[in-house]
Amino acid sequence: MTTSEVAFTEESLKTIVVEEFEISATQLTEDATLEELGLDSLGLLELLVAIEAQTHKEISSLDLPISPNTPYHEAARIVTRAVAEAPVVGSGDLVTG
Amino acid sequence: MRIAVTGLGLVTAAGVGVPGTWERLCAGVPTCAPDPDLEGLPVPFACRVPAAPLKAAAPGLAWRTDPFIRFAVAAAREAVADAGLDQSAWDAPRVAVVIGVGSASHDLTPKASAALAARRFQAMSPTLVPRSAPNMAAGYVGMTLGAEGPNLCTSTACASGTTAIGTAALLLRAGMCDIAIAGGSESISPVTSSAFWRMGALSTRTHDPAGASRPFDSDRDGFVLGEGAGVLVLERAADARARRARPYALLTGYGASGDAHHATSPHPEGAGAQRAMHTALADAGLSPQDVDHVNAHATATLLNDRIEAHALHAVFGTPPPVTATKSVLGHALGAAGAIETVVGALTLRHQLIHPTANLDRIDDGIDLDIVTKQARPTRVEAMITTSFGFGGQNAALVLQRC
Repeated sequence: MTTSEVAFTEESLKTIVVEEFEISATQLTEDATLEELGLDSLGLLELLVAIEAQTHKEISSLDLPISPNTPYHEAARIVTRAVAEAPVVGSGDLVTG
Repeated sequence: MRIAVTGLGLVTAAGVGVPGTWERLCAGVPTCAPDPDLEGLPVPFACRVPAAPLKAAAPGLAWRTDPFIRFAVAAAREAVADAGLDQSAWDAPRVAVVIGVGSASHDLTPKASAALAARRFQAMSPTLVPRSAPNMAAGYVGMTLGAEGPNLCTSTACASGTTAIGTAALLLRAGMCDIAIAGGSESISPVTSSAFWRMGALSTRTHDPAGASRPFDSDRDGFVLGEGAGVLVLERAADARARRARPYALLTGYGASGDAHHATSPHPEGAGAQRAMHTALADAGLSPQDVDHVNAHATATLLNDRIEAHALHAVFGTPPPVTATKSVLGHALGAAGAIETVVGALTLRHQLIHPTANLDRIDDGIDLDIVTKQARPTRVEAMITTSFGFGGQNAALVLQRC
């Protein structure tokens, strides 16, 4: 099974956010925005790049309706749907962060 | 105008915080050890900052900053708390930050290069520029502490931290700020290690990492990479007195010079080093006989130690007791001079000179009174600390007892 065949779920996203961005799982409350979690515009972009590295899908170029003011759970829904719908591009192991 | 040192902060291979490093230095136990991050490289050992305490001291920054920035933030926080300053009450536009950094850190450089080579530009981290640029240590310290005064980086290779502290003193003297948070910071990467090894500067004593950093020893074979940060809080002495601070020391002299000689080799007579020391002494209004102690640059490279000893003889005649902090902590490049200035302030506070580790037999060509084996209680009224960098960039600071 390759990376691309593994579904990228909200749980997968949570793992990245907790492990790579030093955000505790308890902070991911329903109404916390990305900004409140410490993810400014650069942090949001870094998060998308981290997701791309894991899924081999390009989502940072999709102009997703997400900003630092987006609540985390709404952002999680948008990102996981975008990953599910995007085609796999390339492979290799260029992990960031 | 006298400048008071009212707060100290350290991050070194001996740990996060001033007390742990001072204790380690006084015990004279080297921190150099095999390093998993450098495994398989020509020099697989170094003096690394332990990860766990750093994470606690500078939380939430790992994804967006290289370690040198976190070192600086942790040390600056400690120094400001140590000085008893209240960040919510200080006049923020009058608080300056000057942090010296030797060169850009290379944390994500290998990954970015791989992405570039594969033409996968989107895989490059958007944090690449602000995570590694030398100025960002001062930037983050300012952001973290709410310091809104002049904010800058000095970059004079291995003298960066010393230059930063001297520059901060000048800002205070010029009236450009009332408080200065000053120091130096640097982190190790495989790129740095391999590059210094390739030019023949590093010790390759792989069979004995703990014994690899041997300043002034006849068996020395190069320097050992270290990392960390040293930060001092500086204020005009009158201001420190007015708020009843208890300074560690007075910073009374700063001297700087350029060798104008060679990219990486020191001037054969140490002429630039001598000029920096003379200038710092003149600035402090002291004669060489007034100096009780030298915290030497002492990297443990063959040529540098010998030339430094020569320069010390030229300036002092019979130099006062010398010690080499890098024997325990390695050479933290741009952080080294700042770490050693913090150590100098502690030496004045405790009237104790820490020993130089790994000095089994002093080099035949070096005639110095080097403190070794155990810490030496000494009456130190005035001391000098020196740093000499690539590019022939030299700096010296004079500290005096309060």
